[in-house]
Amino acid sequence: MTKKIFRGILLSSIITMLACLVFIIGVQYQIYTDSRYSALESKAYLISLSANEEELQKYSSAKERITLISKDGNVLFDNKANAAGMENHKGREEFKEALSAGTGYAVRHSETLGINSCYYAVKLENGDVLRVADESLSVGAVIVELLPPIAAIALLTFVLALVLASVITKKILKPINEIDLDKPDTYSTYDELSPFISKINSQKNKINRQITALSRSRREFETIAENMSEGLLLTDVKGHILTHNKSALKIFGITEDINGKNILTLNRGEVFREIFDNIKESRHYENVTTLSGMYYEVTANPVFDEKNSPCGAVILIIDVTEKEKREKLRREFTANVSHELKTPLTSILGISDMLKNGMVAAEDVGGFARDINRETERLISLVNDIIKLSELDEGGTKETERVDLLKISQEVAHRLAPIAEKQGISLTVTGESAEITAGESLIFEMIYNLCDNAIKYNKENGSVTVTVGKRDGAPFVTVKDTGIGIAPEHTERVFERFYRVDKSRSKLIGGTGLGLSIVKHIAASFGGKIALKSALGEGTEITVAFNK
Amino acid sequence: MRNKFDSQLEKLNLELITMGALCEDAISASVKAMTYGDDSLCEKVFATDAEIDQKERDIEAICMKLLLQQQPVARDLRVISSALKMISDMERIGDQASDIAEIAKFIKNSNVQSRVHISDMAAAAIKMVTDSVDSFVKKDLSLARAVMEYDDKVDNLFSCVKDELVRLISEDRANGEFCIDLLMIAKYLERIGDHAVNIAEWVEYSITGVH
Repeated sequence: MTKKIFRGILLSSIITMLACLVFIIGVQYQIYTDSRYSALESKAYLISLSANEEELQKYSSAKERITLISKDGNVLFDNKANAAGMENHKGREEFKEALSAGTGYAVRHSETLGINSCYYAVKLENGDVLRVADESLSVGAVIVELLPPIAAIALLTFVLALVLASVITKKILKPINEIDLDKPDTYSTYDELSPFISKINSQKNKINRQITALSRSRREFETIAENMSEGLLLTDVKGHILTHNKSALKIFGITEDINGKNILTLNRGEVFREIFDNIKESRHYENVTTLSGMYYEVTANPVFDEKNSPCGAVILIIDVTEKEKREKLRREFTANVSHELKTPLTSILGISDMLKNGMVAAEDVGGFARDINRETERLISLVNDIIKLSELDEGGTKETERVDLLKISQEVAHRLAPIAEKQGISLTVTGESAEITAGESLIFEMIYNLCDNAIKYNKENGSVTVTVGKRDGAPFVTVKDTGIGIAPEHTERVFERFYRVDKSRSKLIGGTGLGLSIVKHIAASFGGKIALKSALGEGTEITVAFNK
Repeated sequence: MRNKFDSQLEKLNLELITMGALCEDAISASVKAMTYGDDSLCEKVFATDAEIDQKERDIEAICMKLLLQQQPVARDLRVISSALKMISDMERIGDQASDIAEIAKFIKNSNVQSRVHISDMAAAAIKMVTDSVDSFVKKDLSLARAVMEYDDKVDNLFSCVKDELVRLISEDRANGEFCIDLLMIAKYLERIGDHAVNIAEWVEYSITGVH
C-alpha cells in the first residue's frame, strides 16, 4: 500500500510537472517571438532614419542582417552578403507588405544565408525598403537552448516530488499503521475504514470467546486427566505416545518425558505387545496384567477421525489390585468354608453310616453319639461365626449404647473362669473403667474371642491378663497371655479368615479359625485399632484401642 | 528417502524389542516349568521359541533390505550390524529356554531343584536378559555395562550349584539322574547369561562403535 500510494503521488506530480514544462515552453516561445519582433521593429526604425548606402556600411559587423532594397526589388546593400549577386527581392512577402502598408513582417527560410530568419521591412521616404533580419529560432532550438535550466528544474522538482511523496505517503498511512488492533473501537481517523474496524472488532471478540472456551475445555480435560488415578495414554496408529497423564508415568515407574516414544519401549510384556498389534489393526483390546506386583486392567480403544479412518488409540490403565486381591480372598474363603463344613459332616456321615448298618456295638453307641454331638456343635459354631462375619460384612444393625469395657471384661472372665481353671490358667482383669459407645453384645464377643484364644493357645500354668484403661483419654483393652506366641511371619495373617498358624494343632484345640477375624471386624466397626505384639514362646499381647 | 529409512529403522527397533521380550517370556516360563513341573508351560516355551525363530528371520530380512536399499553408513550401519548379531544371541537364548523346558518335563517328580540354588541362578539369568534388552530399549550404556559385570554372579552361582549337585549325588545315588539334568539346566542358564552379555556388548557397540 505504501509503495502504491508513493508511486501514485510521484507519478502524478511528475506528469503535472512535465505538462507545466510543456506549457511554460509554449508561452516562453510566444514571448520570445514577440520580443524578437519588437526588437527588429525598433532597430529597423532607428536604421531607417539615416538609410543611405554609406551610412549602412557602418553596420557591416552588426549581428542583424541589414538589407536595402530598391522599390523595384533589386538589392542595393546587404551587410552579410554580396548585394550584386543576390536575386531580385520583389517577390518577398515582407517587401510586398512594406510597399503597400509601410511595414512588413515575415518569418521564413533565408535562401541567401540558409537559415530560418524573421524579417522586418520599412518603406523609406525615397520608396526604397530597408529590411532588418535576425535568425529565428524554432521551438526545438528554444528547448535546446533552455535545456540546462529545464533539466536542473526537472531534477529539483523530481527530488522534491520524491521527498514530498514519501512524506505524504507516510502521513496518509500513519493513522492506518497506528490502528490499535487490540482496541479497534477507539479508532476514528478514516471513516472509510470503520466497516473493517468494526468487522475486525467483532471477529476479535468472537475469537477471544472461542479461545476462552477452548482453553477452558482444555483445562478441564487436563485437570481430569492429571487428577485421575487411572493411567491414560493417547497413541497414534504406530503406537507412538501422543499424550499421557501423571498416573501413567507413575504406573510405568518412569520419570522422563515419554511423548513420541513407542508404547513397546515402556513395557514389552505380552499384554502390551498384544496392544501394539491391536492398535495397528485398530481393534479393541483389554486384559489384566501385572506391573511391579500390582494388577492393572489395560483397555485399548481405537480412535477414528471424522473420515472414519483410524488415527490412534486411547489406552486406559486401571489399578485392579484391590479387586484382584478381594477376588482371591473370596475364592480362598469359599474354598475354606467348604472344607471346614465338609470335615465334620464327613465324620457325622461316617458314624451315622456305621450306626445305620448296625456295625456299632451297643456299648459304643454312646461314644459315637457324643462324637456326632461334638461335630454338630462344631458345625453350628462354625455356621454362627460365618453368619456373624457376614453380618459384620454387611454393616449389620448396630445398636449402640455406652458400654464399660471393664465391666464387660469382668463378665467375660467370669464366663471363661471354668475353662481357664480346667487348663490351670489364671485369668485376671485389672485396670480402671473405660466407657465407649458400641454394641454391648459385639464388644462382649470381641473380648470373649480374645480371651478364649489367650487361654487356648497358652502353656500349662500360664496366665491371661486383661487390662482396661485410658491412654490419653482414649479407652483401650489389652489381652496379654504367656502362651506359645506367634512367629513374626504369621503376625500379619492371623486376622485372615480361616488362617491357622499351626494347622495340625487346630483340630485338637478346636475353634473355627474365624475368631480373630471377627475381632478385627468388630473393632473396625467401632473405630478400634488392633495392635499385636508377640514373641514366639513368650506370649502374645493384643491391644484394641478406641477413639476418645 | 530418509523418512522411509527412519521408519524402517524404527520398525527394526520395535521388532528387536518384541524379540527380546519373547526371549524374556520364554526363559521365565521355562524356569517356572522347571520349578513347578508344569507341562502346559513347557508347551508355551516351545511355541515362544518357534515365534522367536520366526522373528529372527523377519529381522534378518529387514536388516538385509536396509543394507541393500539404503546403504547406511556410520551409526546407522552399526545399529543394523549389531542388530544382526544380537538376533543370533536372542535366538540362542530361545533355544536354550526350550532345552530347559525339555529337561523340566523329566525332573518334575523330584524335589532336587528346591535343594540347590538353581532358582537364584535362574532369577539372575532372567535379570540379565531383561536388563540387556532394557539397555537396548533405552540405549543405556551404563545398564549394558552393568549386565556385563553381572555375569560374574551367574558364573559364581553356576559353580555353587555344581558343588551342591556333586554333594547331593555323593549323599544319595538315587538322585543322580535328576542331578545331571539340573546340571545341564544350570549350564544352559549360564550360557543364557553369556548371551545376555553378548547382547549388552552389541548394545555398547551400536552406541559407541567400540567392541
